[in-house]
Amino acid sequence: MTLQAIRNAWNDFFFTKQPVTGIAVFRICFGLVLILNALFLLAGFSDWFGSHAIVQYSTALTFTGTGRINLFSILGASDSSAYLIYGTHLIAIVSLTLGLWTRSSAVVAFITLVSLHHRDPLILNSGDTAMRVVLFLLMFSRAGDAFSLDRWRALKAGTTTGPPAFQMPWAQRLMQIQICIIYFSTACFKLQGEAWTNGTAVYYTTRLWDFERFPVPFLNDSLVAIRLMTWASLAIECALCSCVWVKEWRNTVLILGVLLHLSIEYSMNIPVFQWVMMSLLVAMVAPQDMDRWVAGLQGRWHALPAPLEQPVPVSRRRKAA
Amino acid sequence: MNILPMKNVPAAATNWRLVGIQCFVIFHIIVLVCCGVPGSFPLKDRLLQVLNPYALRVGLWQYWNMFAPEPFSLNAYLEAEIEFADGTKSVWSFPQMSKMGYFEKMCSERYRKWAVDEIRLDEKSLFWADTARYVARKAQTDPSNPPHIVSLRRHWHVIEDPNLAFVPVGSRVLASRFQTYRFYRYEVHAEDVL
Repeated sequence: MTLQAIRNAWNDFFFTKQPVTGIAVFRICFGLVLILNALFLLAGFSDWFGSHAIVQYSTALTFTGTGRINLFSILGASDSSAYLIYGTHLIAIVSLTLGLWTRSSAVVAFITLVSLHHRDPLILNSGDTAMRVVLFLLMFSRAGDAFSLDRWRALKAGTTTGPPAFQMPWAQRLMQIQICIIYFSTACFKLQGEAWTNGTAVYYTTRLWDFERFPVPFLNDSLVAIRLMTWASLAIECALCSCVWVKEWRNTVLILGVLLHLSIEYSMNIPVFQWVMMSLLVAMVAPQDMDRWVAGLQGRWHALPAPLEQPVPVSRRRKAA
Repeated sequence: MNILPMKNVPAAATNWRLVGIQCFVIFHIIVLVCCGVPGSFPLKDRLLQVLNPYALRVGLWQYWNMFAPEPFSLNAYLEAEIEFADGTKSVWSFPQMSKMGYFEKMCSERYRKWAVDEIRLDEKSLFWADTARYVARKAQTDPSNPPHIVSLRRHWHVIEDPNLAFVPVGSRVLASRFQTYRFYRYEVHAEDVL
């Protein structure tokens, strides 16, 4: 391997222009999850964010420290500012989902979400962390270039024609790296735990009353099945940060990931988290695959011809030049 | 640095823009890896000293220890005992998921997170006074007989190793088998319940 080969691989990975359908579909899925999350926040809203919230603003500041992105520090910790920040967040995420002023909406959605997170850090789970970090990266993507009101307006105004142009996927690549860090990190933590390595972890999680949702008869009462489920979930998490990069295995691994999250969603009460993770898996789909699937769907519904140009790696373009 | 030229933009501007993007990408890969990958090693720790202020301020802080390294192995809940000015006592229960229906449980999960995952722990003692004040406000029904003392209690029952005692899923343990510990006592001030 030469330095030039590494440089080429780097440039191909981050900067070879790709179809934008993948990131646009992701924007819609992720936006819907953000809306679901915002609606859930309404339950207990004044307890978390109001002027008489459980955690006083001064205590939250002591815990988080000052200097963080936090609109409450500008507007004050009153009921009206809480509703203003929340309302703005809701409008921004709906707008983001529809693809209206996409980038500005993403920026506003991120700032308001971070502010809410910094107002009460005690109620946050890993789903909140994933939403916050990925929303940050989404601000830099070209998620509004397809399936968006922005594109519809541009087509109507005549400022763009034809299928959406290919774009450099570096922001989506950062998201993919972040998603792999999530699975890598959680797999590393779990491999340090005795219950995960001896196969009894699922036994403990299914005996936690607070997390019970729908019953899973037989399987959860068999130690053999419990061991298999524990190791299978660990194996899928490991695959989601490693095998997912192998082109031939990627879609299979992603389907297994979706099945893992759906099974947890069915059996355990951990609202929103599984949907956050499933929406993130959409960002892992290869842009060409997503483009092909969407073109196939469009062709089936509207008899439209499939697009378009094929991505040409940066390194090959340079050679041709 | 070899970078891809862009259409309709002067070459110099394009190059500088792409150099900026490259720097942004490299910087954020380092931030995400240092903040997200577990473990402690010298290079990561030194980088974190520099990067943490940025990650914390912007909101890129993260931890991914879901049900790990060991899953929770206890069922727990919190209660508050309230002593009123006239000496009478009552018990206020923190929301308990196991007593809720499907939809209510989904909406109230953050109450579980707050009480069981956070307030129950000694490391979160910073928030105990706020919690006691909240309970006092909730318990205040008669202004002539305000809450005087709020005590926070945790109750827990350890889930035993299945190889020693396999409990069928959905089984319940009698309340008498729960252990109890009063971990905080707060004297309520008049302004707390306003």
